Amino acid sequence: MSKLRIGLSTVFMLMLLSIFSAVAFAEDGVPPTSTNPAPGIHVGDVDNFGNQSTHRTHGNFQNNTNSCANCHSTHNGEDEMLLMKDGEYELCMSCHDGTMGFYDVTKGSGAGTFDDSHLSSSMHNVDSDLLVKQAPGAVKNTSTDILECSSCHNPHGSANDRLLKETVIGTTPFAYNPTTFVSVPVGTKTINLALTEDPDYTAINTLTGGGLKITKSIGPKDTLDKQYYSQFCSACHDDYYGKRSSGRPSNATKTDTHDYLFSHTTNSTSQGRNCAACHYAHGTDVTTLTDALGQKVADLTKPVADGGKYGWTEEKAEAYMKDVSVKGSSLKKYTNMAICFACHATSISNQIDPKYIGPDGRFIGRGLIR
Amino acid sequence: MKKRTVYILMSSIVALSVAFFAAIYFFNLESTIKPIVAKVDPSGPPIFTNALYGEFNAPLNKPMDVTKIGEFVYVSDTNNKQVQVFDQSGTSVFKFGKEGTKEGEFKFPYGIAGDKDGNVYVADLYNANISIFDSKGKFLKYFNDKEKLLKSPGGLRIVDKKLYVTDIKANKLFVFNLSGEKLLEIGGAGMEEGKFIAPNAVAVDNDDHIYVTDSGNNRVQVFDKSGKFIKIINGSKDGKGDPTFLNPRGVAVDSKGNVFVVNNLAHNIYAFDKNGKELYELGGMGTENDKLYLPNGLFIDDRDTLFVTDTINQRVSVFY
Repeated sequence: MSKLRIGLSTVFMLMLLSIFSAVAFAEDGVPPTSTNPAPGIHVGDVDNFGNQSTHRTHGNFQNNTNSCANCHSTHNGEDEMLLMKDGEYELCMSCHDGTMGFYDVTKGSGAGTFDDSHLSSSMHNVDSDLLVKQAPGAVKNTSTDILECSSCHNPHGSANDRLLKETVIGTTPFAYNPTTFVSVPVGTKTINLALTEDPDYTAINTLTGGGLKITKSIGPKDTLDKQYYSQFCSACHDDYYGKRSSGRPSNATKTDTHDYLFSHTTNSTSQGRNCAACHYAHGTDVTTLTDALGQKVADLTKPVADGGKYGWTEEKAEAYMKDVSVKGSSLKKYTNMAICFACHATSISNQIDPKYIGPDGRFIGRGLIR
Repeated sequence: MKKRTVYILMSSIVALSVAFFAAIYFFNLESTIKPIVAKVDPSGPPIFTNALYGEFNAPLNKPMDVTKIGEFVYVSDTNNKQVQVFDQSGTSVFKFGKEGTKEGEFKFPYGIAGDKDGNVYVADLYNANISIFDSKGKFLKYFNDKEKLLKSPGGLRIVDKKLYVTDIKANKLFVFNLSGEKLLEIGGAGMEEGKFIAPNAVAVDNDDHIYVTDSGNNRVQVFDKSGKFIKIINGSKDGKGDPTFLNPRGVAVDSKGNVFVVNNLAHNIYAFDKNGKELYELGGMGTENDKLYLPNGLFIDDRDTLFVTDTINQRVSVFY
């Protein structure tokens, strides 16, 4: 009899439980999901410290986040970081395509442009299945990773400006002290860019107090930053990093001096002797290239009535600025070999029209070179 | 058990069944009984029905917005710098536009809408203009933005001869009449009520309330027809708490006044009732039929069919 009673009580309890759980379930209207796991708890409600969350674009996730799955796969990752490479470019481009108003990478900026619709375009071709080891000048770099936005940027945050990674290939930091050759540990800021608040976004910048500012960059900030910036590039393009007179690092492995190769100096603090002096990080095209005077297509086509010097047609300006180099425009800031001329003109020619010479006795466009 | 008892049991089952169905028939109870058998909850979530992919050799590439004009579905096929047009069955019927800055060309075709004559309006984020085509895709003219206000047009809808367009860089919503005179301007950069950061989409309901997706602030703001702020929808209770949206994009309102918001980075669509109470979610990250992967544009037609652009899956998914 008592067994029967216990049995009936259990059934009754289960019935009550199901009724109440149904009510509790109905309270928030929906069954629990990844973005609404419990009544009143939504993604974005709580930050990692249990505080009311303030939205941070990069690098902050709440304790019950499901956002990891946007990029990572627990058991089916395509590299040791468990990344799913398909869709990475699209994910980044869902905001950086101009639909957030700022940091549109298809528009010319301090990093150049990701736009292949114009003449003379060349870029770090993310989303094209290029392997990192295919970088020009790669000798030590044998990385079989696919070139993606995350090859250079860490979306989770970085000590460096513009989320530039602290380790580029593998887990070894790219940066080392150029004098002592001692490795700079992860977490130390090595790349400061010359950032200034972008006047196009003053309205937004005045809102954020000390927080996020929309900035623009003209390249690495100070002398040491230039060297670290070159070290960053040379994590992949390793054989291009060095002093002209010393030759390329791979010469050390060659026995015949006739096989030696030499490169323009890239590891110096001096103007024009770091990677960013001549190259954009993202890419270039006829709209971002300049001539030796630092003029772009936009300057050449500006109507005379609006203060332009030439008032050329778009076709004429683009034909002038077009890069005809056999190897392509190679992410250059200046068209063709105009940067060589801008820097070295006064030492290789004494017939330069004085109107092209600036007060420093050099070509006017030289001033733009970092 | 005796044979007789079995017979009695069997005949009573038969008798009861006959009585049950006779009662239903004579008392006209079919309509009351039927919904119990196969009830479709009208307030329940729409169900995935089909997807529009485009041709096998020329699929959609980053479809950013969608609209239905007449019986055709027009999709801004952004990375292909064109508009693809589908019939109801999902067959790609024709396309128009190519890359460029001249008439009939696009750099970033985004918001797309139709007027009552069936003309197609396409906002171009990069070219900073709105092109007008006839329903067959022939370029007619540019929308005459008389005060040259548009810098980066994004979301676009035409309701009752009024053109609603968001300007992403200017952080504003403009309302024009179709001849290009500005009727209303809301916004400016900011986080306060009535201000926006990167407004990406707009919708208008039957009460002429204006819904603007304020992507940078992770919310949708609702205004009355004179532009007066009414409320915020951000997934929190009464819109007063922290947002649950992650990069909200397309917004649309169905005939019942339910509001649907595309949550781009969470790969889903939130539905709210008229009072802002959350009803359900559609989608979720994935490539299966009823899933979404970085969805963006949203359009609801007069039959409450829901069209959403699913950018990575390169399709427009239809829910009904």
